[in-house]
Amino acid sequence: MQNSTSPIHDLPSSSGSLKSESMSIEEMLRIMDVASQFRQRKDMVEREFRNDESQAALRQKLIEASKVTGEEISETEINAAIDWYYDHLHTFKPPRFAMGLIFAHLYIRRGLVLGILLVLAVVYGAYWMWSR
Amino acid sequence: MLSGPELIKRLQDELQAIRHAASNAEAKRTEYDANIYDLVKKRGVALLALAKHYLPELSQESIRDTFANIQTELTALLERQQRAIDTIGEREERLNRQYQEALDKQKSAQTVFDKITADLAELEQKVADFLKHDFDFQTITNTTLQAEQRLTQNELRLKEIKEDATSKLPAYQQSSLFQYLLKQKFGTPDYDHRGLIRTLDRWLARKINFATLEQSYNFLTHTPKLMQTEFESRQKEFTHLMQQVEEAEQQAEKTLGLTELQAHHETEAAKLTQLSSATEAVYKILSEVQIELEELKSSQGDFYQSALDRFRTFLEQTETSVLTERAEKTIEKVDDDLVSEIDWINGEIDSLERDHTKVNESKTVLQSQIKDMEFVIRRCEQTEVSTERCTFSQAFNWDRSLEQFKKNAINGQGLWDLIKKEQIVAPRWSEQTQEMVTAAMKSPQSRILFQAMTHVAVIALRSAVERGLSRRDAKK
Repeated sequence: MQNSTSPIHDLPSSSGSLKSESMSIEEMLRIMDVASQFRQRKDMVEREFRNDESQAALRQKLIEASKVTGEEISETEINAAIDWYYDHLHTFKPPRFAMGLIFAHLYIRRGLVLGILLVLAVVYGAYWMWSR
Repeated sequence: MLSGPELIKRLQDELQAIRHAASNAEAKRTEYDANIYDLVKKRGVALLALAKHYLPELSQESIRDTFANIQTELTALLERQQRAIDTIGEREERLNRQYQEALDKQKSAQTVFDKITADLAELEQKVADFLKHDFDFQTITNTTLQAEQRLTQNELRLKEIKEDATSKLPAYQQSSLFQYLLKQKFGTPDYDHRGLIRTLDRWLARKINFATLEQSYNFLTHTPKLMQTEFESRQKEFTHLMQQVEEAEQQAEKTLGLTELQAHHETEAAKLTQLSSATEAVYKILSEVQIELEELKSSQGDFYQSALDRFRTFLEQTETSVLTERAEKTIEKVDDDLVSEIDWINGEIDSLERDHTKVNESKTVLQSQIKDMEFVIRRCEQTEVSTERCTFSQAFNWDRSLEQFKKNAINGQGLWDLIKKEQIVAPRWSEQTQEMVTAAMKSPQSRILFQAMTHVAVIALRSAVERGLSRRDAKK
């Protein structure tokens, strides 16, 4: 899911002159890559549909881990922790405030900032010329 | 001495008294009407009771015990009743036959239907047993059931993930730093910046942890769509499985002859419903006819009521003496009491009617007197009688005249003529002056004095005219 653009459009046309016998290794690898992506998506969708099973497995693992570490964690606490985890999964986490963040905002608006500075420079230059 | 306005005042008082008397007469008349109405009602009840006593039912025996003059009419009514009973009776018999036929048809149809229902239940059980032992059918049924369960779970999960995406995506869309890097396609082969910009973009990506955020963003954007597509595909799959199950069932039903039997069962059910409706309709008409026949046969039915009405009218028109004579001949006391009551009521009604007539006549006279009195008052007000100059001599006996008017010895015009005759109207001031001048001119001394005064006045006028003419000539 790293890349949202589908690689299918990069494949050679099925009605083209290429045949399986004459395919290069590179082209075959690309087809394999597309097939792999389809499979990954299907797995991901299946995983999401079976989310309750994933949660159950995670619960079991956490119970076992707590037994190994000797921590006395109840099943209710584990359930609450799992719920909290899934609730906060994929939630946007904004960066912490710092001077660098102000610079980052100025940077992404650099066109506007440079424009303002240019206007100020022109105004200042004109004033300097007039006052001399 | 009576003055004109005083006379008018007395006339108005008298009019008021006559109006009061007329109103009393009207009240009395209404009272008599109500009493007569009550008595007539009582007489009606007594006559009806007497009619019922002599004619307790409409039968040949009862008719024989009534009066000879009414027996022919009552017998005609009895014959009409018998004819009506015969006609309705024939109709009832016909409907009864129809009802029995419809009932028989319904019963045989019900038997056929019950048999087919039993066969159907048996065959359905056979089909169920057959399908139970069919391995392929059991496999596909289990698969379908599992698919259905999975589909329900998938639907719930899809709903959850859609809600999750809807609530979490706005934060990504509102972050300007994240949106900047996303628009620059940072981290993809399409990113084409070099040098300082690339370095600064990398710094920014590290600062906001872009890689993780993008992964979550892509998940929230694409996963619900992919899951929706997969869900729809699974739905189709499930529908296909269901079709297969239904087809297998239909095939088994067809093979074992269940489909044919079901169609036959439906036809028989429709036939039975139709027959039941027809039977019910015939039964409804039959019930109505039976009720009608019962009413006709009843000695207290419509024909009896008609006979009773006619007999009561007959008794009403019959002389009380005839009724008394008849009552005396019978052994029972009831008719004697009723006849004496009717006799007493008749006497009371006669007496009240006489009083009623008297009051009515009195009211008519009073109304006429009101009109006359109004006429006299109007005339008095229009002439000198209403003025103070009008008086009546001491000799004029007003009370006697009024008494005559009340006794209708004189009418309104007569009273007005009497007033005109007896009135004394004093002359006006102008009329008095003129009379005085005329009286003065009749004396010789007065006439000489008047001529001298006239002569002096003529001389004075003439000299004034001459003086005027001489002044005008002098000016010229």
